Amino acid sequence: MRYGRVLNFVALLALLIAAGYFVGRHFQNARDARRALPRATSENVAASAAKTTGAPAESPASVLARIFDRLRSGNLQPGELAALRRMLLAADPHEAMTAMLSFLSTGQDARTGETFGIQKGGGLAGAPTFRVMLLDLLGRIARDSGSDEALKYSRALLARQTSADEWAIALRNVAWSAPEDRTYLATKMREMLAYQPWRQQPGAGFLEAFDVIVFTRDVTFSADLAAMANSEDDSLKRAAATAMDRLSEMAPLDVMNYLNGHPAEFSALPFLRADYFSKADLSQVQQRQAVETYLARADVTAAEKDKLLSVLASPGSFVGDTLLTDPAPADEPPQRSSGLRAAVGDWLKGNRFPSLTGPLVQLQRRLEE
Amino acid sequence: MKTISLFTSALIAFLIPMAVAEVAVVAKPAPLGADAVKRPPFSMAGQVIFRSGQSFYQGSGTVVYTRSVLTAAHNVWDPVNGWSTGIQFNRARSGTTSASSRFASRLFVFGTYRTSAAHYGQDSIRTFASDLGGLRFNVAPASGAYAGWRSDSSVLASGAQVLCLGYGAEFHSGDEMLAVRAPAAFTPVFGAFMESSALTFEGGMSGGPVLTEVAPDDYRVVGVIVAGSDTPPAAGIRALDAAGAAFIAGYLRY
Repeated sequence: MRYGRVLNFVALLALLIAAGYFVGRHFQNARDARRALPRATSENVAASAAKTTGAPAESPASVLARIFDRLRSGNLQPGELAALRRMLLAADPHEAMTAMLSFLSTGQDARTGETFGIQKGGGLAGAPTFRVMLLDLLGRIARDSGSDEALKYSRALLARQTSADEWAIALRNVAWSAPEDRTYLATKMREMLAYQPWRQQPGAGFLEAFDVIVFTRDVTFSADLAAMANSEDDSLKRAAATAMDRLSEMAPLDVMNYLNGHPAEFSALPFLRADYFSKADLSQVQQRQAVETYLARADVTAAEKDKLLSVLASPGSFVGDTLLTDPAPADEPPQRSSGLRAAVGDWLKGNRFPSLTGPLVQLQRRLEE
Repeated sequence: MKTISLFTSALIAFLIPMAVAEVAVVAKPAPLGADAVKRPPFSMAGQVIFRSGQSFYQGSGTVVYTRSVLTAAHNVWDPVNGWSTGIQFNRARSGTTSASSRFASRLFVFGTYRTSAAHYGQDSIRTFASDLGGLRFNVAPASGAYAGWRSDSSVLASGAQVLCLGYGAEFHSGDEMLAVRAPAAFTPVFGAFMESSALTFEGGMSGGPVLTEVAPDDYRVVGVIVAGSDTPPAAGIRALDAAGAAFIAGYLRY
């Protein structure tokens, strides 16, 4: 009898476990289904939204106001923002810009649920707020139509710290409309980097704005980038190291001369500093001289110089969509590799850097492969 | 009494296979063997040895064009030591033998200031969403042959079988190609980063291919191994979405 009770208990326990398992599986499936839901439904809603917002009788201003109201009240359907973007980009540029400027002047805003993302050409694939979305569209429409509306509005916006995302797009708009005004862009970029609330919690727009530094080709940013590359914040550290790498690619001679003239910069990150000299085109006399100056420096360790010679055998580039600058070309100019081969040959032949003979021989061997 | 015993036995008989099946769901990487690595698609994968700073590390990669290998970005660059150097691709390595051994001549990281790693930190799950790296070679690593690839994240979420390859050095020697098949769907986590708890990866498999069989014995690369955890079991991959495909087509098309 007692044995029977134990069996009953075991059976019940097992039944409970089994029931729990199946209930768990059921909810797991339900969770998966919920995850998949937005993707499954967005296309239908987008099609429906396109029909609604594409109504020819409605002006850009009224569509914009209506979509904003729906966004703010939480009734916006997936796909409606994309439809709004398409509508504004396809509308008469003057009418679309007037509507957007009028809305932007109200200061109203709402979160879109999108993340800050950049597409090919520097336009936004995703904007976290309604205002950032409009600033992006304003800049794109102004660029395509040759208008200076985006430039005027963006300059006015950059007079006060609104948000880092807005500043990133405003700086891009200014660069698109007035690319020659690099001093203004550099000044505003410095203000952005110095503004502690943004710097202490760097978001997507703040980090993407580092492309303004690369765009200006202003090597005096090297000191700021070195400080940030040494910071505690991982995202700042990485963005600064990447921006410096891209700046070195865009303006190799200026960066090398700056680093040779300011030996303390990036001295705490010697292997990164070596990378910045690897962008040199040694077929160019001045660039070759800058590399030779670096290799002859007494304050640079043998390990760092070895790193440069190693990375020259297989240089690296970051590629992706940025706000302003073009990604590195897929192909390197042939004179770059012939210049490197010639320089390495000369250095070995003339015993120019005796302590680096081993790494130089290895580099020469790699280049012959 | 007899009824209860029979009922209990039946219940146990029902539950044990289910429990066994549940355990078997987590697939682990296992060595393929020297003969298997000589055949496609395995023969297009290889071991990646590289130097970062003063240390040497290991990863994996796949030949995706005549002179190009697809791998994980963190095999190629890191924020302290910069670009990796002396990157050697040992195709179809098994023990001390490789089908070919080549040094990379050009490196690419797909990402800029706000690579996911920059924004979320190296250990964050989101770090790996943009984690693609590319290697180019002066000499073709597979005499002109390469693995096919396609941009189709839906395959990874469809529940179809995928085959993941790499050179695990955590529990294995690092010199043998490991393979693991995923019996369950990957779940989108963030961007192109997807995860499955139905299988695990081993350190060193990073950069290895995630393959899908489009026809009998005809495989395509649909993703790259980028993250893994043994406890709890989790396997992270970077799916080849449209942006990833554009990266390969633009920079690794040689």
